[in-house]
Amino acid sequence: MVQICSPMVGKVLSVDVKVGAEVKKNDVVVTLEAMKMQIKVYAPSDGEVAEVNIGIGDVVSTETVLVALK
Amino acid sequence: MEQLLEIFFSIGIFSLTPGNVGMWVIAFVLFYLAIKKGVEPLLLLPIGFGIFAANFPLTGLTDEGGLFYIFYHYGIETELIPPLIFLGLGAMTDFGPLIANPKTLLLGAAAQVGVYGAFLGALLMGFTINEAATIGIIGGADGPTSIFLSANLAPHMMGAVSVAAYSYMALVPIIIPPIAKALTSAKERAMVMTQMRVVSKTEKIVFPVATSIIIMLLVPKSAPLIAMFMLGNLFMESGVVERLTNTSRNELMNIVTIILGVAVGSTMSAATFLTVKTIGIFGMGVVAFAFATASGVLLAKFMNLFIKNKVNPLIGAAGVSAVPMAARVVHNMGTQANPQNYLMMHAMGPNVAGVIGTAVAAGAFITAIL
Repeated sequence: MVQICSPMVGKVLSVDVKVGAEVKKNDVVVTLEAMKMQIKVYAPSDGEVAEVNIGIGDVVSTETVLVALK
Repeated sequence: MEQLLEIFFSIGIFSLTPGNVGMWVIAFVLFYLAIKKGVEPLLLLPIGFGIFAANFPLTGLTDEGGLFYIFYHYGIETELIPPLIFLGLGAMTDFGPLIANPKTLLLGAAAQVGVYGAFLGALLMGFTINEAATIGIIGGADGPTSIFLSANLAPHMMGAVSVAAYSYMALVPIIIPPIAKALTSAKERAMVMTQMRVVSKTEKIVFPVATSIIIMLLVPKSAPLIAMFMLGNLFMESGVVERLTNTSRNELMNIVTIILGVAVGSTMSAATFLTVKTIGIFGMGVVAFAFATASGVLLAKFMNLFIKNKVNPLIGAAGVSAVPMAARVVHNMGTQANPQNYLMMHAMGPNVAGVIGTAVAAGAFITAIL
C-alpha cells in the first residue's frame, strides 16, 4: 500500500484517477490549487488505485492522504 | 475678439506636445500588457492611466493643488502608501516555511547581492549615488520598496523605476529559468528536499515581534516598511483580529493601490521619462535581476557543502522577492526535472526572506546616503 500525501496545503481542483485504475509512476493523480497555481501530484510508483479519499473543493494539508495505491 | 481667441487657444489640443503623445504611446503599451497579456494588471492599469491622464496639457492635474499632485504629495512624498501596502502584504504572508527552515533566510539575503551589483554598475555608468541606489533596489523585485526608496533618494526617477520593477517582476518566469538552469545540473534540480516540520502557532506569533526587534535595532531606517509588514503579519497570525486582517489585505490594500498607481503614473511626464537615463534604468534592472538570481543559487550550492539537510539549489533563485511568483517558477523547474519534486513551500522560505532583505537593503541605503 502506497499512500500519497498532499505535498502542501491547498484545494483540490480535480481528481484525475478512479478507484481500480492502473497508474504508472509519474502519472498525475490529483491536481491541487495552491498559491494561485495548479500543482499536479504525481504517482510515486506504479500501482492500482485502492482508495480516493478526497473530492473536488476539499482543502487538504500535508497530513491528508489523497490517494492510496496497491 | 481677443477674449474669444484666448478661450479658443485654451483648448488643450493647441498645447499638446509630441512628448505628450509619446507618453500616451507608453500608457497604451501598459494598457495592452495589463489587459491583453495579464501582466500585473492591478498595478500597470492604474499606472498606465496615470501616465495617460497626466500627459494632457492645461489640466493642472499634476500642478500644486491638482488631484494627482494631492495623491502624489500626500501619498508618496510623505512615504505613507508603501508602508500601508506592506501592512497588507504582511497580512498575506505565511512565514511558516522560513521558520521551519531558517537557513533559507541566508538565501533571501544572498539575492540582495544583485541589488548591490546593479548599484555599482549604475555608479560606473555615471548615475549619481542616489540614483544608483534607487536603480539597484529594482533587483530586489519589490515594487513598494522601490517606490519607497526612490521617494527618499531620487523622486525624479520614481516613474521609470517603478515601471521597471513591476515589468521585471512580471518577467520573472522568463528571467529566472535560464540563469538558474545554467548554474545547476539536472541532478541538482531533481533533488527532493525533506518534508518541512510543522510550525506551531506560538512560533508564528513570536516571529513578527522578534524580527521587528532585530531588524529595527540593526537598520532603523527600514522601520516604516518592516514595522507595518510585521504588524500585518501579527494581525493574521494572532487570529484574534480577523476584521483588521481582512481590511489590511483587501479593502485598504486595494484603495492605496489605486492611489499609488495613479500617483506613480502621474510622475511620468515626457521630460522626465523620455531620456537616455530611462534606458539605463531598464538595462541595469535586468542586470540586477540576473545577479540576484545567480547569487541566490550559488549561495545555496555553497551552503550544501557544509550542511547535512541539503537544499535544492533552485530555491536560491526564489530569493528575488517577487512573491509568490519566484517560488512558483522554482517549483515548476523542480517538477520538470523530477515530477516527485515539490519545491513550492521550500521556495517560499527564501522568497519571503527576500522581501525582508530588500526592505533592509533599502533602509541601509537611506542610512548610508542621506
